[in-house]
Amino acid sequence: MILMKFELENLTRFPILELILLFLAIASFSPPVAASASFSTLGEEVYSRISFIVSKYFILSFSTSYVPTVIVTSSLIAASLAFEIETGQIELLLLQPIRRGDVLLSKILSISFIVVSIQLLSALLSSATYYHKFVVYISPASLLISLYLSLLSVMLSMSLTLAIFAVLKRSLLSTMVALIALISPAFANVKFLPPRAFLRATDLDFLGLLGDTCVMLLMSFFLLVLEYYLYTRRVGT
Amino acid sequence: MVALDNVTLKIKRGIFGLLGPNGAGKTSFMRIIVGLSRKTSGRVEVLGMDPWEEGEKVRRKVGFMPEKPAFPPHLTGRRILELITRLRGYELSKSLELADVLGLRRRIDSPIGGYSAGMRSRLAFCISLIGNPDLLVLDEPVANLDPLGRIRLLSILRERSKDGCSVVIATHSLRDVEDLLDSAAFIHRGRILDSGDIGDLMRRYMGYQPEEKVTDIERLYMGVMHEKAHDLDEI
Repeated sequence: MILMKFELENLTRFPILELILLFLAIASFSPPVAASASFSTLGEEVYSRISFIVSKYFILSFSTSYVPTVIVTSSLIAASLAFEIETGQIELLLLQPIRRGDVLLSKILSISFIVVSIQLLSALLSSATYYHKFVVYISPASLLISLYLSLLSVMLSMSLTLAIFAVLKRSLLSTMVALIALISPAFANVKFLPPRAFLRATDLDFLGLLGDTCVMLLMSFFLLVLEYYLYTRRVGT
Repeated sequence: MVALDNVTLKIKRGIFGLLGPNGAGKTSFMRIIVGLSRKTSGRVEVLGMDPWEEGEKVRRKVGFMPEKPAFPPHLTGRRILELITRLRGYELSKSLELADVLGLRRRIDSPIGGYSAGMRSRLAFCISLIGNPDLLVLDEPVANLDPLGRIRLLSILRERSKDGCSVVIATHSLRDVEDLLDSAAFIHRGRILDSGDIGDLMRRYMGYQPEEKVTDIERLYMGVMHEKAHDLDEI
């Protein structure tokens, strides 16, 4: 808790929230056509049911908040993390009687808190903005998926930054390369979702969703293990 | 690249000096004993524990002051002291008393980004003392300090040593620590050239008699280096 408070204090010195709000303000004046079109590419077979439930929410809040949340939060967090390692600021914590993993955990939890807060806030704002044009339906599932995808992206960015930093030992370069790696697939319209052909059965929707969830959980687990390994084995050596 | 090679050293209670030229491996040695770096081979025991495997326990009993302390620049000295004090389960009032003794009172509520190198060193020293550690590991502690800061730091070290705290100091400021050290090791290119009680070393290298109490650590340093190191141009 002490560490998390410290991390939040550290992270919120960046104007993350202000930047997101600015983006949302700009985005609210233009209809989110492109985002809804890109989402519709996922709305086949397995995704048909999900897309039916969540499409409106995604069009309204996910599309406007997901991209800036992921890019802005990831870049600032990755830069902050790499900078802390490079300047030795992280050693202030690593020298205290706490487990090295706790330092990483506090970072992940505080980052998650920021991302979740921004997503919820942007969902509310988007809903308020478009309420007069659309009927807004935000299901708990859609909200969870949106939050999950954001967190996954931020974790991916952190892992990439740590991995690249472990080799290059340059904070700015690590952050840049990690961001390019993170943003490129977004531009190429490749989502951080697993391949849909993972599970096929008669109950396509249910098993497909189950399979996708499993793959996403596995990806999360893999990212966590990678981060933990890089953090405990590479940082400070 | 090998930073430390074939180092065998047993550090006794008291104030121990790790002396050697730039790039000799002093900082690497210190980072290993506080658990910031991992050894690739060999055995390291600090207070009977492995500093990497049992880092949490070791760090509870060890205070470390790095050569170039880095702090989040937007936080104040007080905020950092609060954080470390809480993490170490200590009393904030005592930490603030320490900060006063070290001359940090005037700037304690200012962001650290505006601190001079000397003020940062004072803060780092203050942090290393939080929780009354059994072992203090100080990397160039007096390098950035003004004369008053040096006097305060050295007198605190003497007091702590009398109270049973062991101190390991790596420094180039030999004159500052010559009356302080109980024992020393001379390190060069990652190897220990010699080590022992200061009195023994003075007798061996300087021909001093046991009853002589005069310590000239600079001459001792040059004596050990001349005799043991083969590449004096680099010293």
